[in-house]
Amino acid sequence: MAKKPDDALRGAPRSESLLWTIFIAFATATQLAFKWAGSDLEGQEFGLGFVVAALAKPSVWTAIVGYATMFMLWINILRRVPLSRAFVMTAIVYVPVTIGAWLIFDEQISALRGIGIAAIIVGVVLINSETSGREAS
Amino acid sequence: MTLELLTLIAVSVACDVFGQTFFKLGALGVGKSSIVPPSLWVAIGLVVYVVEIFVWLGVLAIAPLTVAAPIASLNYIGVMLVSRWLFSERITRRQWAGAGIVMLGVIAVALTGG
Repeated sequence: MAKKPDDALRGAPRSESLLWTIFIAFATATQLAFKWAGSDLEGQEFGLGFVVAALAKPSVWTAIVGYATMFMLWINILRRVPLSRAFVMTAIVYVPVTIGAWLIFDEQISALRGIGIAAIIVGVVLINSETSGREAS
Repeated sequence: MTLELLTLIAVSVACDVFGQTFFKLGALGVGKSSIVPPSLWVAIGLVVYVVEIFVWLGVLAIAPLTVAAPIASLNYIGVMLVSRWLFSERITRRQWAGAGIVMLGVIAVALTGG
């Protein structure tokens, strides 16, 4: 692979692990913020009224800002990290999200649900394991 | 799992797959010489993602996050299929296996309710 300016960053494990930490923490927080926003809208029938009610909730705006920031963070990551490795990050996020939902929202993780989530992580990594980084950019 | 929840999750996954497809069409520069400029694909993709935000909130107003988020990983399978059928990308056996494993995981999680 030809050396391009971006490849120099790839050789720097310290900056990449920092990127991983930031992304995983941020993605987890955003997903939890979405759940917080969702529970704020519990019982609300889905439709136009739902959207209007949603736009009045600070929790919804927190989630939206998190989502937009994550989107930009993701684009930045795709420039520095090979695609197959970047997708490992998105798969790993299921772990802290599950733990966070259990701790914060008291969601019960049965054995079957836990096994299902573990299978999904493995499957997502496999699906994205053979994508070449060049294709995406 | 109620029909309303299933529908909302299906729409959310569809938004994700369509959004990514539109971005890909934009990135490929499809329509450069016709009336549809590539930037329009990207704009449509962004609109689809905005719609998805509210559909996803609809999902989370009903379902636990540990049910909804794992099931939403169906979008990886959707994107894989679109890559195959629309963009003629080669899907390896390992990727098909991954899709099968995701599918089994989704079924397991869906069985735990929501």
